[in-house]
Amino acid sequence: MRWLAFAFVILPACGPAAYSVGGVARTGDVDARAVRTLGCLDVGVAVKPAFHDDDAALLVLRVGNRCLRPAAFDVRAASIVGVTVDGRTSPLELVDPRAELIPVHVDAGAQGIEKIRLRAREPGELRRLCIDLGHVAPEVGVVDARVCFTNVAGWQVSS
Amino acid sequence: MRLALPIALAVVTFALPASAKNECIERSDVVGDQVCGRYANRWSVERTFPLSIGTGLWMTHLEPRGRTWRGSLGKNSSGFGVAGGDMGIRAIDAMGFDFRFVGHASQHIYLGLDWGLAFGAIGSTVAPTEGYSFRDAKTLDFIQARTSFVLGGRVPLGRLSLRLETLIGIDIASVGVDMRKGDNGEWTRGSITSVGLLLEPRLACDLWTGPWSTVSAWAGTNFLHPNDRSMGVTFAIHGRSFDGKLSL
Repeated sequence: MRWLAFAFVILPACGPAAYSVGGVARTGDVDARAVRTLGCLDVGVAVKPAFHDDDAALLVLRVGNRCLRPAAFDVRAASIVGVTVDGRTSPLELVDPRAELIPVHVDAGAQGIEKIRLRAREPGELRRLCIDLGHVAPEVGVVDARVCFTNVAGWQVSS
Repeated sequence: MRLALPIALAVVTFALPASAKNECIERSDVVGDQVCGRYANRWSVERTFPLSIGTGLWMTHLEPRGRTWRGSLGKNSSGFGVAGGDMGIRAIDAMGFDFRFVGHASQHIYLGLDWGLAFGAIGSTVAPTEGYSFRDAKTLDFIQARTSFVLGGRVPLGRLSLRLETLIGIDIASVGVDMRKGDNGEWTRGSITSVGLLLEPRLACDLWTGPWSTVSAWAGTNFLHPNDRSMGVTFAIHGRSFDGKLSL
């Protein structure tokens, strides 16, 4: 009986677990207030200090698929806008030197984390940054999924 | 000793996947700066590989009749043929473990390699033949090794999948016995081995225990020796969740 228990309970449990609801916020990489549900996908974002000198910031992106089928996801469809300390608005773009940021399908039950450099089209220190995730899940269509951050002693989620 | 052949075959084939380890040291987790990885690796359909590896237990039932066997007495022996029907053993049952590596050509078709090794005890004496007499060695004196290509089709039915596959390969069965020439010769450890082709259709049922793990029960019969049967349980880890599709 012990062998049967090992075979049918322990061994199958060795496989990776599927992503579950709320998993993106539980990891601690992103603030729960910066998580948006877009159909099957939970998409969470965080902003960290720039990784390279000529970057504006570093985007931390965590995505999880709650469904048992793949779900389309295109991070390039995110619209990111920064506001400098002197009040100018500056669109930000994702730095993708190797053209890796292709539209993908998040595997069923999968979750992942990515760190992507952000570069401003205009120079200037950023005080505020807003990311519109409304277009990143093509199967869902356009939804209101804006997340904003304010840089006061580090990037914090703001309304 | 002839038993060394199937053992060596199994050791070499089981060791092959381990030797293919890829060494890459990652220096950054930022997209564009990564050396080993890429954006969406491991979590997107586009950047995961539709591969699976599995291992499990299997039981085999083999009837010597109809197979060509060859006896060997020590290293310098020239060997002698033994007709399966003359061995005096109706059937041999053995149990062992298997390993498989499969790639999915589509959501329904897969190809791969399968290795199996089973051990058993014949539990009886081989009948005298070709001037040799035999006695049971009272040990695990039967070993069966298989190496084969797998071609199969899969029907996803939710948490269950049905698969029909064919294994094409080599099947080696070897019986270790004490044998002597004539009635007064000295007993020497030898073996009687059958090397043949394997053409085994199998029916399998998978239960998805998670998006990337299955438990499967399967059964098959060797088309070239219809009385030979095998069945087993396989635990597999899959590179792509539900092999790309959960249901039709």
